[in-house]
Amino acid sequence: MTSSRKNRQRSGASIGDMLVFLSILTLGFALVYPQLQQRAFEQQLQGAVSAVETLRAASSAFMNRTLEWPAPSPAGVAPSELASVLPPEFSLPRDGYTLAWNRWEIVDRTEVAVPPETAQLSQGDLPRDSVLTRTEIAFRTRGGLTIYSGNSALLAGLLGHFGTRLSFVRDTTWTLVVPR
Amino acid sequence: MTDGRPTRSGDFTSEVSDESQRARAVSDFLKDQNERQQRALKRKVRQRRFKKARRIVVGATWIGVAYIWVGTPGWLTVDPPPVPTVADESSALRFNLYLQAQRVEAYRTERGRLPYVLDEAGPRFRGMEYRRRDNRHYLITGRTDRIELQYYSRESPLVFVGEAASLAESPSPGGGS
Repeated sequence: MTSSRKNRQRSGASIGDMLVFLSILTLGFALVYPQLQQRAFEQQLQGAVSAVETLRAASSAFMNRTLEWPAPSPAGVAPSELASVLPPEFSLPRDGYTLAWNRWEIVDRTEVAVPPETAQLSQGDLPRDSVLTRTEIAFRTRGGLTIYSGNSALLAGLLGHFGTRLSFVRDTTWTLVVPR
Repeated sequence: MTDGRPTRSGDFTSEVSDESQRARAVSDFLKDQNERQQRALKRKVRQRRFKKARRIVVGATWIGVAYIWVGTPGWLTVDPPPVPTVADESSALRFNLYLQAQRVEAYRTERGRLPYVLDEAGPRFRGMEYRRRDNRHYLITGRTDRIELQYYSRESPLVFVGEAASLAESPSPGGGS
């Protein structure tokens, strides 16, 4: 009897047994792997949704307090105005994606009717029913969140969660307009 | 030994003088050898069967593994969230173009002229191209992997932005000046 055969008999497992064990282990892994992947994706999506909700709640609270949206900040950097409101462990660069806060300026141009007397025109210059108009310009802002990620499934998941009315996906970004 | 008959091969070493005893001993020995042979044969058959079954299990398992990895059966795959439609992407691009145009308009209102390049009006949205047509009008082209849209400043921005206009229109008390 050779020494290797003796060892094999001592350990109680042959190469064949090992093959059976390995193949069953591989089959089990192959069956479970997609579920594990799905669970990891759901956890990442849940994490992203919760991060968005946290930043949205903090910026909305700031808006309600000061009547202004926080100033925009570069991707991965929290607005300084929200430093005291956000949880200390909250970070904008995360595993697989980066959050950013935006503030967009919108210019409103409205035509306002001007009575002829304030327009310093005599009654004879215009017909009685005529109305002069003046363009009034006003600035207002909208707040929004952006997530930058190369993971298109994550962006699609966020779009599915927040809907297409308030959020948009474009290439590698997902944007959410924060309503007042 | 309970009945005087040998049960092990070592037991056949005892001396027998009587003829009949010798014959019985030989017969017992042969019987024992025969039983041993039968047992060994059965064990071999059992081992062969076990090996065959093991080979079948290993083969079937590896075929199953190969089928799962290569064939990716539908019942095992998890569908990712649906990719945004072209309409969704178009609406996103329209909204980006609208916001970009608003930056240009804000710049124009503050400085009294159009920016020469888009970056003058602040950070640009990705994939935007700005072309100043004259002192009053400009064209912004936005591109994604799938679509390309153009906004010309003669158009009403709220009409251009379409469904997302409600987001832009809803009044916000903050930031006004």
